[in-house]
Amino acid sequence: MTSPRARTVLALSSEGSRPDVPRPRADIDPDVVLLGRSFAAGDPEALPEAYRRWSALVHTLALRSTGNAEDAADITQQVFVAAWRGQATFDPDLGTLPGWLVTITRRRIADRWEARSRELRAVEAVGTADSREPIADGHDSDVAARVLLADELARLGEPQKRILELAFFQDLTHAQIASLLSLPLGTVKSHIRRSLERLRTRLEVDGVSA
Amino acid sequence: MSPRDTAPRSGHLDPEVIALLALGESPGTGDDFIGAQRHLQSCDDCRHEVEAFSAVAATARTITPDDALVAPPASVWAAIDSELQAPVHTLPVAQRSRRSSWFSLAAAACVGLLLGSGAMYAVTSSQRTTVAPTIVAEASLSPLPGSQASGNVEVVSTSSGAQVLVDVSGLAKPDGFYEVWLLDRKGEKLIALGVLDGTDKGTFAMPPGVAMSDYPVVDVSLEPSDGNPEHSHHSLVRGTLPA
Repeated sequence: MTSPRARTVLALSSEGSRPDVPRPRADIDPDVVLLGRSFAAGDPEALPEAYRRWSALVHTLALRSTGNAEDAADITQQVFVAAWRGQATFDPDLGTLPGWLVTITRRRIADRWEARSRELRAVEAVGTADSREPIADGHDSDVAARVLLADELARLGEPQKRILELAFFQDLTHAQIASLLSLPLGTVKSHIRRSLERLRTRLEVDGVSA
Repeated sequence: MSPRDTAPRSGHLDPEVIALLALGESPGTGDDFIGAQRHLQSCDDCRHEVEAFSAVAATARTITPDDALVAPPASVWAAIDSELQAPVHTLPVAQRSRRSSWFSLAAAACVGLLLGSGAMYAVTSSQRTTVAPTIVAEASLSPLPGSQASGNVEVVSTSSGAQVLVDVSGLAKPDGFYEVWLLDRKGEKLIALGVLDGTDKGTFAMPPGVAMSDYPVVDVSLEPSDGNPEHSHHSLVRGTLPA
């Protein structure tokens, strides 16, 4: 998509202001909701924008789950092509676009594992039934949760990011963090609460528990 | 959805206290903390909140540098772009989904049908000439993302010069009009051929001195009736004439 599409972008922003449309959740970034709607409506500008925002997420999930750069690139391509071709099946009132992309990604990853274990079974056709590798579902959702949280953590502004890193990785109490960063206690407490809520929303909304 | 208002909930723990408990901290000294623990024992809502945030914190604590996002190589977008933009019949076989094979069959059938009508079209429009028009080049017009239309383009040679015959199906009645363009391969230079007759057909003279090989891409766009002669960047179908 090399050409600018100023008009479709304009059409996109008026779409989002329709007051009668229910939103999935009040705590979701309105930009994400808007982009989901224009994606579902087939706005040609929505695909490159969705790719710009979430290709790294899709790619990282694929990379961490398959451990193979070629597979990861391939899955990323498949996910966005499938999402665009299946845009009519995405309901922006039922979920977010990144959540849907993550769902497609996990399905593609599972397909890849399935294909691998089929190959393995073919190779070991005369082996025991136990040689079938289970599909690493639990592993997969742990990875997905970590990648999503790492991403959301990276998106936090400062000092929120620093505060949470000190709490998570240095195990400091809010009082220690306040004194280290010379911030009022109340500010640190409030940042911790808001940031934790953001992380939790990201996990719930982007569907790793699906 | 969980009861997670930002306003303090009467009779429940303060959300900030819940967050600190979830991180494994004691929220205050002495009585405060004992009070919070006692409340948790009797309040399912607050206990559920603490547990949910604890789970988030526990997962976050296992993050390693490996979990940082890695952007895909630039070739991935190029591959997506070409898979979605390319005329279906040029898709590499390995990348064809079931749907696109079906689609290319349908498109092929379409081209066959249109070839017939297009040829007739050419004959009718050149009845007064003695030389029968010959099809110099043809291509299918494939929908761009977001469009359901498709069609066919032929360049025919007539005694009065080359003509471009465009036939599209699946276009809605426009808010404005549909315009046909010739683009160079890079999409940087373009020539407006004219306006489609209604929503499906048009016959346009190839401008003299314009080589098809320099402008092989045929594009149909939706143009608002705003007097702006430039391309609206809202293309619906596109196809590339063979060199």
